[in-house]
Amino acid sequence: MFLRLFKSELFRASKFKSTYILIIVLFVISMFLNLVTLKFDFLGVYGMDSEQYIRLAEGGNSMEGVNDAAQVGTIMGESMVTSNTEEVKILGEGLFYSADIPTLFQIHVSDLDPIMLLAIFVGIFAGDIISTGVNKNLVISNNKRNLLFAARATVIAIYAVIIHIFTWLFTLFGAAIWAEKVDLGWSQHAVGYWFVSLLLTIVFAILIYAITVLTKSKAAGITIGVVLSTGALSLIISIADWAIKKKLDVKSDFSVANYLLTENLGSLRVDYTNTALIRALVVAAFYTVVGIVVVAVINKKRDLA
Amino acid sequence: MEDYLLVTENLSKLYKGVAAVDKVNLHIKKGCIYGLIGKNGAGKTTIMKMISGMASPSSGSFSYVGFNGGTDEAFSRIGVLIEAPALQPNLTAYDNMKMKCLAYGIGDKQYINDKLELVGLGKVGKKKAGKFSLGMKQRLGIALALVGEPDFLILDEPINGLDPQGIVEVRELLTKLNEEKKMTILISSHILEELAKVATDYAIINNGVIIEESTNAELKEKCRDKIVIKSADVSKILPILDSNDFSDYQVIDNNTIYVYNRLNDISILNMEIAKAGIMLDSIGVEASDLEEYFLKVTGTVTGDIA
Repeated sequence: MFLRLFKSELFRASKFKSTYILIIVLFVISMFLNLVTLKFDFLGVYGMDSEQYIRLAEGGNSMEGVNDAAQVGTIMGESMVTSNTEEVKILGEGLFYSADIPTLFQIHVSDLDPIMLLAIFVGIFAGDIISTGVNKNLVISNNKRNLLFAARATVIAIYAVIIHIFTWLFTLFGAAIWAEKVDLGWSQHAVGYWFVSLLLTIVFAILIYAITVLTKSKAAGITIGVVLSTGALSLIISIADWAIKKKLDVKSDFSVANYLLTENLGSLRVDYTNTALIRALVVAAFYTVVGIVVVAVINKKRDLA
Repeated sequence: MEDYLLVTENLSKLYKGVAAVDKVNLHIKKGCIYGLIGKNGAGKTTIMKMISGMASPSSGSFSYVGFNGGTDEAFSRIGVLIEAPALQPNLTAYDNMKMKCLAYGIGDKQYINDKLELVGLGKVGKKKAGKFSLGMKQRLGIALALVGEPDFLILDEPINGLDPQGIVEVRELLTKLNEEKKMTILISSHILEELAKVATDYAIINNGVIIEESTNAELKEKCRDKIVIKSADVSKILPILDSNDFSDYQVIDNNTIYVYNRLNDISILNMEIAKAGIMLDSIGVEASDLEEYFLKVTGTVTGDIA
């Protein structure tokens, strides 16, 4: 029965225009990010010369740090970076011009745009069930409805895999056009990162599905998914961190963010530490259980509208 | 015991403490067309949802005694159209059908076309369901309910939005499915006259309670034109009826007799009873159709019947 329901749901997903449009949007976003990271000459835009860049880099600053310094220098008028507006140029060698594919892929994944698009797909796919009442066509008991959930979750997971693969392919495509070289950079960590980030992506999608089912709202699923993937919760997280640290005896590096799916996905690096890896896996497992339990309980308790 | 397909026992459903369905006992025979009659909000849809697994009963139970495998087997042999047809507006009629067919393990293209043809949508299979008229959506909803050749068809207001020709077609379709495929059908409709043309059994429901359950023959009997005699001396009136050729009568209770023949001779009957010195509370001809009967038993004066 699962296989039949899965086929039916796969067919339904294949008939949404958004299923394909979102891939096109992913391509556009990815190519823009590729352009910015590989070809957008931040130093040139801020009028920095290469000596200043080297000096900053030698000072132990990361590429992001250099980028921040360039912006701070320009915006705040700090003396650390001297702008020379006469030498402004936009295209040239981007900050990640020489980076390998896993690093570039990590930038795409941690940017959270792919999961934002995934959240939109899940909201549409799952929300459509509620708006059309299509479940009513399938006469099955509330207990058996879990099979339907499993079939839909599988379709969602497959779409998450597709999004992940396309993100990697678009990274590769961008690198082939704009990077210094295409360095696949396969390593155990690169493969590990690929799969752990995929796992977090799938779990995020299932969680958005659970939220959509719970709220019976397509809009709620999409909105929550987009909010989570745009980092709009950072202020709330900071307040929560402050409150928890004030009330409880926790370590100084404690942060609620460490226990959120999107924050783990955003902060995970190709050269991850074991601690980061284990934390990501535990968080993924926790939210998987939460998602499944929520939907299972709803399926059992809630009548079809 | 009759050959029942579905029996409910004190089936009840509470919403926020209010009983939408209250201790309902239905007895649906195999092969019948069972008409569920009630006003809007009477509880018809809730009953249908409960027996098709869409809603859990608050108390009581239902049993698909006609299926050896019980509820699980029954659910795999039921087709439903409850409330508005559940259609994917972005899909064509064909694709809507295909989606359900895939879930039922049916991959035959012709099967889908045949079903669409059956409900009169053969020529619009490629049109998106979102652009269908209400009547076309109803037809597609019925076609979806027929996927998998169910033994039991549950149709909630299936002729809603249909034009007169469509109503006739659906009536003929249901009769055909019932007679040729021995399909048991549970149907609700607010067009009682239409329901009367197809249903073999009825239940009248009001405020979540079953007022009465009867066969078509019994209901017709109750709806027949008749002379209604009200008197405390029913036993003394019976010989007068017999001797004056008012032979088709029925004693309803200690005070009431229904006489079904010689309706135009009510004055003669009145005179004969008076000659015998029997006091009458009332005597008169009562005519009622199904709708009037329904209004009477549910205590409805005016308003929407559905």
